[in-house]
Amino acid sequence: MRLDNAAKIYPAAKRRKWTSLFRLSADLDREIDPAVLARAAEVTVKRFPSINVRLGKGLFWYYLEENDAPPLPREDGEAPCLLMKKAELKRCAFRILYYRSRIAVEFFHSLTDGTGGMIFLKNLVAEYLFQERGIEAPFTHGLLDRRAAPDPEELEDSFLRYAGEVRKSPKEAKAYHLPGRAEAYGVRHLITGTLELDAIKNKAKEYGATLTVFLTAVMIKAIENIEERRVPIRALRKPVKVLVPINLRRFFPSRTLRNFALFVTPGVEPRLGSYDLDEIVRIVYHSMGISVAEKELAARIASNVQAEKTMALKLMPLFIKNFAMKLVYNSVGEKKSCICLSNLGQADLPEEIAAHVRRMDFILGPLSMTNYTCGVVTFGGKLRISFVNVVRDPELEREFFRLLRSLGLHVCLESNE
Amino acid sequence: MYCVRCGVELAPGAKECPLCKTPVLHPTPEAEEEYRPLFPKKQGEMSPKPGHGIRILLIALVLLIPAVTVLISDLSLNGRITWSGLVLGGLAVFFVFVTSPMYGREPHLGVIFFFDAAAVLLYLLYLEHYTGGRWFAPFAFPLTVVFFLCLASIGLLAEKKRLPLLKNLGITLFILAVFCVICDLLIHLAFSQSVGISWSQYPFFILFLLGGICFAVDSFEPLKEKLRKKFFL
Repeated sequence: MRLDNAAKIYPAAKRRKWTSLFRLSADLDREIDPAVLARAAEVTVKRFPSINVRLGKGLFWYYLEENDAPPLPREDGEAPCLLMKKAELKRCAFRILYYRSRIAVEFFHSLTDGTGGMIFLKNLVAEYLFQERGIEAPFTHGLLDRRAAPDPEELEDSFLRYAGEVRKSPKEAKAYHLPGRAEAYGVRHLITGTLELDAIKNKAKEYGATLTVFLTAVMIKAIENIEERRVPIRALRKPVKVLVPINLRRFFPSRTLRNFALFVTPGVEPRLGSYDLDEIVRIVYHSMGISVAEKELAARIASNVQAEKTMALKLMPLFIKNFAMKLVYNSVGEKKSCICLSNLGQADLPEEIAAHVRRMDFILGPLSMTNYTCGVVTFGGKLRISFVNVVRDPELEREFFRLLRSLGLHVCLESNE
Repeated sequence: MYCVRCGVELAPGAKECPLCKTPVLHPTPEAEEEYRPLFPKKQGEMSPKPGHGIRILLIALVLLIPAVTVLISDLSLNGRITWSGLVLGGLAVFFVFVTSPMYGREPHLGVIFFFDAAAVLLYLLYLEHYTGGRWFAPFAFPLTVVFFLCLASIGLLAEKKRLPLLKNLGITLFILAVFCVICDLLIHLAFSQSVGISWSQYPFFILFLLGGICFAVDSFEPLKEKLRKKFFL
C-alpha cells in the first residue's frame, strides 16, 4: 500500500531521536486483562488493514505492508509516545499498550490521523468488552462491524480524490520558537488538565467563539505573554501562531481511515502591540473562517498532491528524496508555528460501551524541534488537554492553565512525574 | 487538593504542583494511599541515550584522507616514514580531542581529560624519539600532567559546584598562579638541575591578587552593585 499524501513526510522527516507518534487511550472500569486484549486486537486489526502495517522501503518511496498478526499488547512504559526506532517501524508501526485499567494505542502518524486512530481505539475497546464481558453494542458512533470485510473506501487516499483543480500554497512567515532548557534524552513530561465541558463551552460562548477557536486563542495569549517576558524589545518579536489540524472529513464526504487532515495556522503579530483575549478570539475566528473553507482546502490539497505527482520527484531514488525532504522539513516544517494544538473533538460511544469507559485521552508525541505539543479530546462531559514537553520548566503549561484559571474555569491537573 | 500558587486542583496524592513545583502542604495520608501514577515506570528508566559510534567513525574517515595522502607522499619521496610521522601524530591527537567527549553515554569530564592527556603525552614521547632529545621524562611528562590536572580541576569545580561567576574566575586565577610556579620549578629542575623559581613570582602575585579581588568583590554586595552600574552594557 502506498503512503497517502500527508503521510509521506513523516518517515522522511524522522530522526534518530524523533518519530512522529500520537496516542489515544481509554480507561475502563476494571483492570485490563492482557490475554483478552491480545485476542480483541487480533479480531480488530482484521477490519483495519491500513493500520496493522509495517513500514517498508522501496527504491523510490516508502510503502506500508500489512502484518499477519497484531502487535502483542505491552505494559505501558515511563511516558507516552516513547521513541519508535527504525527496527520497530519495520516490524509494526503502531503499539497496543495497557496499564491498570487503561488501553492505549500509539500510532506512527503515517498510518492514520487522529480521527482514524480514534475509530480504531473505539473498535478495540468494544471488542475487548465483548470478549471479556459479552457486551454487544450497535455499530454506531464510529463502531464498525468487526467481522465484516474492510470497505475499500476506508483504505483510499482521499487527498487524491478531493484535490481541487486550482493549486494554492500559502506563504507564511516564521513564528516565535518557544524556548526552554532541554531535558535529558528520552525524558518527556506529560501534564493533563481536565475541565468541565459545559463550563468551558459557556466561556467560549461568552467570547462568541467555538471551543477550538477559544482554546487556540487562549494558547496564543499564553505564548504572547511568554514572548513579551522573554523578548523585551518589541521590534524583535516574532509572530505567535498556533498550528491547528483540520479534519477534512468534515468538508469532503470521505470515509477513509487513513490520513485526511490539513492544518491552518491562525495567529497574531506581537510587533503591533499586545492583544487582549477578546481581540485574539476575533482574529482567530475570522482568519479560520477564511482558511477553513471547502474551496480553499481543495486548492491546498491540490498543491500538495501536485508535488507528489511531479515525475522528476517520483524518479528520484528514496535516499536522495529523504535527504531533500529532511532539508525542507528542517528549514520549513515546524518553524511556521509555535505549537501544534490538535482538538479531536467529542469522542462518542454507544451507551452500552460508554457506561464502562471512565475517560479518554489524546496525546501528541514530542516533535523534533518544537518543545511542546498539545492534544485535546472530550469524553463524557470532560475536556482533557494534554501537554507533552521535553524541557525542564513547563512554562507554557503554567501560563496556559493559569490563564484558564483567571477566566474562572476550574482546572484539575495530573502529570507523569 | 489545590496548588496554593496556581489555583489548580491537583490529582489525589500529588506531591507537588506540576506547573510551578510548589510542594503540596499537609498532604493527608488517605490521599497518599489514593495516589495512582499515570505511568508504571519512573522517567529515565527506559530509552537509554544512543552512543556516538557513527559520528566517531565519520570523523575518523574524514581524517583518514589527509593521513593517507601524507603517508603516501612521504613513502614515495623518502621510502620510509620521516616527516609524515609528525603529521600523523598531530592528526591522531586532534582525533582524540574531538572525539573524547563522545566516549561513553554520559562522559565524565575527568575521563575526557584523561584521554586528551594520554594522547598529548604519546605524541610528545614520539617527538622526543624523533628529535633525539632527553626532555620527556624530566620536563614534558610532569608539565603535561600538571596542566591537565589544572584544567580538570577548573572544569569539575565549575560543573559540580555551580559557584557564582566571579568566584569561578577567582579560583581559575588561583590555579593559574600555582601553575606558573610549578612550570618555573620544572624548568629549573629539568634544565639547570637546581631547585628554585625566577620569573614566576611576578605572574603569581598578579594572578593571586586578581583572584583575591574577584572573591572580595563577590562577597561585597554594594561594591558589586556599584561596578554593575559603572560597567553596564
